[in-house]
Amino acid sequence: MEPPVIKVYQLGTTSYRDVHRLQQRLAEQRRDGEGEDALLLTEHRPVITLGRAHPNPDLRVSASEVTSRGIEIVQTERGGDITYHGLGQLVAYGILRLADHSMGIVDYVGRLEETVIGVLADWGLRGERVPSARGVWIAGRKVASIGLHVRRGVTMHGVALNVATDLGGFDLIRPCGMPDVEMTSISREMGKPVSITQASEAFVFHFERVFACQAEMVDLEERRAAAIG
Amino acid sequence: MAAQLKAPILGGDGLTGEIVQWYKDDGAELDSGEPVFCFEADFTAVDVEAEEGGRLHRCFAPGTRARPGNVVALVLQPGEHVPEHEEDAMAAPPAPPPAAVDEEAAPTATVMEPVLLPLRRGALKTAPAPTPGGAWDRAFGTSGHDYRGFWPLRDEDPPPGGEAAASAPEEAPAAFAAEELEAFEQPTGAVEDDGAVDLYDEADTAVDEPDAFEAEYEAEELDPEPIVFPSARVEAAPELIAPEIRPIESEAEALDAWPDNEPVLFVPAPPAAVRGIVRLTELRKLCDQLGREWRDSGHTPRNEDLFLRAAARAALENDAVSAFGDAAGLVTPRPGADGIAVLENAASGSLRERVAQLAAAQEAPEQPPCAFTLVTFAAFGIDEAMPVLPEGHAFAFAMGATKAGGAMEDGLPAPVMTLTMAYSPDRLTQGDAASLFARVRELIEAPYALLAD
Repeated sequence: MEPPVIKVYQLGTTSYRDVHRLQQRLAEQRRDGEGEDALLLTEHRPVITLGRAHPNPDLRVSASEVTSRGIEIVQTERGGDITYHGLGQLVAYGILRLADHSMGIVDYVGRLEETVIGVLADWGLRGERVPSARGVWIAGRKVASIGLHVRRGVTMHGVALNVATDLGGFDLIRPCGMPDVEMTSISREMGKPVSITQASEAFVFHFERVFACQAEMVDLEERRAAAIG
Repeated sequence: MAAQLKAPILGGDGLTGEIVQWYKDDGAELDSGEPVFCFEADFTAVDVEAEEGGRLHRCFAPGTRARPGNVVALVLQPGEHVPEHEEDAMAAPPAPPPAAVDEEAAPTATVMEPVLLPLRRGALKTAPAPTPGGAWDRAFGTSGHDYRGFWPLRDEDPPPGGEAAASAPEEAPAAFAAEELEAFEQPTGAVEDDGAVDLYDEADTAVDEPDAFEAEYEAEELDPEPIVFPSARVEAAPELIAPEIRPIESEAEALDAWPDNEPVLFVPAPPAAVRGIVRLTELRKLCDQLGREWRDSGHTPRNEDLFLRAAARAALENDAVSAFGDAAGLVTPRPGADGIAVLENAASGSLRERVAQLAAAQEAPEQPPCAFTLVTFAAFGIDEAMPVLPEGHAFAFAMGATKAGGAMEDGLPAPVMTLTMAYSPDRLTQGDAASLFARVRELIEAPYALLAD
């Protein structure tokens, strides 16, 4: 039996709202039984996003200081708490109809974590899960965050992996609502710069492995058709 | 017939979640396929849609925790009312409150006659249902922690509401008193307004605009502390009740189950219990650190030592327990068992001394007065254990831990255990017991705090 195909969009640097709209459009198609499962890979310009259950931004600074830096705060429909996205962070959004992969939601979350752990292993880093929270950690420091939304069995949102992120962005917030969490990145752990392109390739490789699927890279024309700004 | 809207199945064992938001007001007309409420668990927000059109009858307020599969709303057809069996259930009296605490007697109570009854798997009596909105809820529901897999034992007691509720169809929601339902349905700013910010009105501009964003904040502020009812649906998930848990009914049965008849005093069967799943990943690492700390004692620490230390710490911090005085106790496993567990004397910190004594003598030293006893049963290689109480001392609570039988993960035994606590409602209120248990669990899951002192 052929493995299921997942279209991979390498979107480059994007604004959060643009990709959010794309996610919604693709997810709506999948809910209606149209389109194909997709994996969107991007790095966002700096933005702070809030989970559905946590509409009050848990900031370490004033909201005006955040906005004065040109960082928007966006309420989303995903699960989880507040997080920061910025350059150097690989964000992977899966638009998957879980039933087609015989997966439950918890299984899906676990596989996303497994994918990240595989990426980290490519750099010789030992990624771990912790029992009290989702995401992936390196020796107690959080390197990847997860937040998902599911409607009618179709997923949105996904995982954000700090590759070479300016971690100062996390100083603006209490990531995931956890007061003492220390964020890290692959570059920081390695002590040298790591390219987000390399990390992105590694992510696709491990995503294929963990999800037993075939990744089909979407070319530029299709990306333009997807109307990404 | 009224269609049920249930908390979605997420696929994880013991996972509980929260009704984050209702997209529709109570009584609103629904179209098929419309999102009705958002349920969040495990960092995933799931929108639940109406499978058919009708009038929405909401059962819970936002912020209520529920277990996947729990019925949280009904969709009624025109002219249809809440089904009779549900009205019966709603009209049933609330679950009985836990027995009142005799505060004067509690600290020095010696009234419990020792009887022969082993505390082991199977010896736990079932728990009364928590009082809705009571101390249990305050301890668990609004603490902000994810108490996945947390439920009181309910495998023997009739559901709240007595026989009428017990005879209700299996799929029916658990019984609620009318006043409880009213409490859930009190209109609040959030309830009235939470449909106003609808991500689904405009497909391409679904991100909330700032005005709507702020309006939602205001609505949140108007929302009173959510009423949490975490255990209301326990009977809806019977598969989550471990089948091996059963009460031992009589002294004769207890003796039969305990053929060796060691000359010890057994405490009465605990009348109430709570149980939860705990992951131990971090605990393994901590054993190494504890080993260095205990180097001079000659004792090699294991997971259970940290477990016991967590229990002792939680007991010391718990006002109700510490009110008993010198909070100290002892655990002695069944003679001949592989290992000895000991409870840290939380007041004096003489754990190392006790460990050394035990390691040397392999038996319990002379015990100080103690007002509570900590018990392990089937914990980490100790198949059976029994508490030993000096005469004149009374049982307040006991804790135990069992490993998940046979479960493997990455070629190793799964780092999961079931933590059980039994307590005497004569000495601890349900809320005190719940907060104690929650603290133990918290310490076990983040055990670095145990080494901080």
